[in-house]
Amino acid sequence: MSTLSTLQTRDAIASGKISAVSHISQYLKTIESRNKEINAVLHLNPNALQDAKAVDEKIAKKQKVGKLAGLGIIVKSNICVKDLIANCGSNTLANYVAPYDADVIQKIRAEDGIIIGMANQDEFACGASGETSAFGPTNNPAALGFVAGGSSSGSAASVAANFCDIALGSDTGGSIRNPASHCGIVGIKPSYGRVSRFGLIDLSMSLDQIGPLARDVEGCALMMEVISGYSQNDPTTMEKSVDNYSDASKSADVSKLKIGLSTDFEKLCVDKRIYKIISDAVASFKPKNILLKHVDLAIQTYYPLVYVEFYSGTRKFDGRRYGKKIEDSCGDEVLRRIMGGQEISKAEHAGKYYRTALAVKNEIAHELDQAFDSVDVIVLPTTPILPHKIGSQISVEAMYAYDAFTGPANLAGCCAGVIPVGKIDNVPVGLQVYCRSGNENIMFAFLKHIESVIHQ
Amino acid sequence: MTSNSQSNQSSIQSTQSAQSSAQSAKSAASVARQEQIRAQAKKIMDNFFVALKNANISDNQIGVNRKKQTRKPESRKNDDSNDSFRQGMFANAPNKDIDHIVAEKKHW
Repeated sequence: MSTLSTLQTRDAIASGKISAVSHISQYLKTIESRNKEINAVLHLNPNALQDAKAVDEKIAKKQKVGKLAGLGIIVKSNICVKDLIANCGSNTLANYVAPYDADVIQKIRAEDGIIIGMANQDEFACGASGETSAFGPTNNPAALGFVAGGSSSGSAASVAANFCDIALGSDTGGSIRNPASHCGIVGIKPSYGRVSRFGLIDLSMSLDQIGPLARDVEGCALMMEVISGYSQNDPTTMEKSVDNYSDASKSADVSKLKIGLSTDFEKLCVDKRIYKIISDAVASFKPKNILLKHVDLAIQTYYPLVYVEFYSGTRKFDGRRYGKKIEDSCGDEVLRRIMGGQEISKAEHAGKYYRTALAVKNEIAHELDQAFDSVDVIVLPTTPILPHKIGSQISVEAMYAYDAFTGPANLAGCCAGVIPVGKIDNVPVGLQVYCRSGNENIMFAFLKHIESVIHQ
Repeated sequence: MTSNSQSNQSSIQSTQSAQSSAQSAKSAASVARQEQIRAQAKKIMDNFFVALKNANISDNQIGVNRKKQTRKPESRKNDDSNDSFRQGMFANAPNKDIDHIVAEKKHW
């Protein structure tokens, strides 16, 4: 199963060489045998095999099938899938059954993708290690005993453990890219507004994006083709047409791309071995050094914005309509963000924390925008350190520092992606790229190129 | 009331009392936890704020300038362009001051 690429698998199912039922059955067996150890999947879709059978019947009748025909999809538990539990990794919503499909799920179903189940995650996406879930930490299939990263821990681990073809995660400050890097897979944070957030239980609405994780670039590109586009349910979505991302390597000439590296990121990279792997991987492009003066303030900028927006967003969890009262049922990190958000939103502060963070956010976005005038792609590490062992004592500030290289893309709204480029101490390391907002086709072309070089 | 039923009632009361004290202790622990986390969060935010302030980036262009945007009470005193609309809007208001509804929570 894993020897075929995502597109090859899709084509084999669509042509009837592999049945969708046998394909999904194989994943269900793997989940049954390994999920106790990995703890990536929280709930299975009881209709998965029935949905797969419907795809097989379409193929047998020679009816047209969708782009995701028979592919198995696992969904982060903060994205609503009708009749499945969307608990956000929290006791607050432990038994909350989603009453409708998120926009992205409707699109996946329309393209014949099969929803296999719901993934574990950091509680309400508050975390960078996968350890804040009320349902236990997720083990890293690529480096057992280490954290899978977060907050889309279960989504990344599901892909890495062969529980599915593609997973959906959400990325507010690195929650797709961080676990993708730690688990040795590909993960994409779309440009802000590229993918509808309708049906996503928000962490911070001005930064959140839903994105794909897969074992190869084509898998992510294919899913991006399906889930991207304007939605009247989400007024922040772009009206820009969606490119054929899975064919992006043919639409952009990689040899002509201008690549940028920044010594500002090098300074922030605690484990210099990580920076060396990344810079070596793109050395043949003779990258240009770019200046990003305020990028070292990304963490200090990101968290006040998240605290305030998260505090505001959680006021609906008062125990009346949705689950339990959040303050009485959540873990420490969620409570920290609620209490911190409440504290700095007080009238006596007149918005000074949020306004100051917003000003620096704009400055970082401006600096990145200027950088994109001279380069097409910025290459950088995904995290400043390797993942820690599950259960290690990590300070709050050290945990927040995992987002140092991923947060700027959310602050600027640009698109970003991660691809595995090597290992240090047997732990995967992901190379991260940023491209200007809306330039997903360039990003996929470059990632595809890096993937082909690594596979040689 | 028999001595048996008195003893049962006393047992129920003592169980209720024990449950109530356990709940109070739990509630106090929960409040203490919240306050400890609140203080920790505020400290983190304060440290971040200092770092951001030191960057000296002006926030003049961010958000709404409240002083400029706040409506002056006198500004429409002589504007009678839509009296019937105004009368309709203010018909049910218990207290009003020309163009403003004077509202208090739970009083309308």
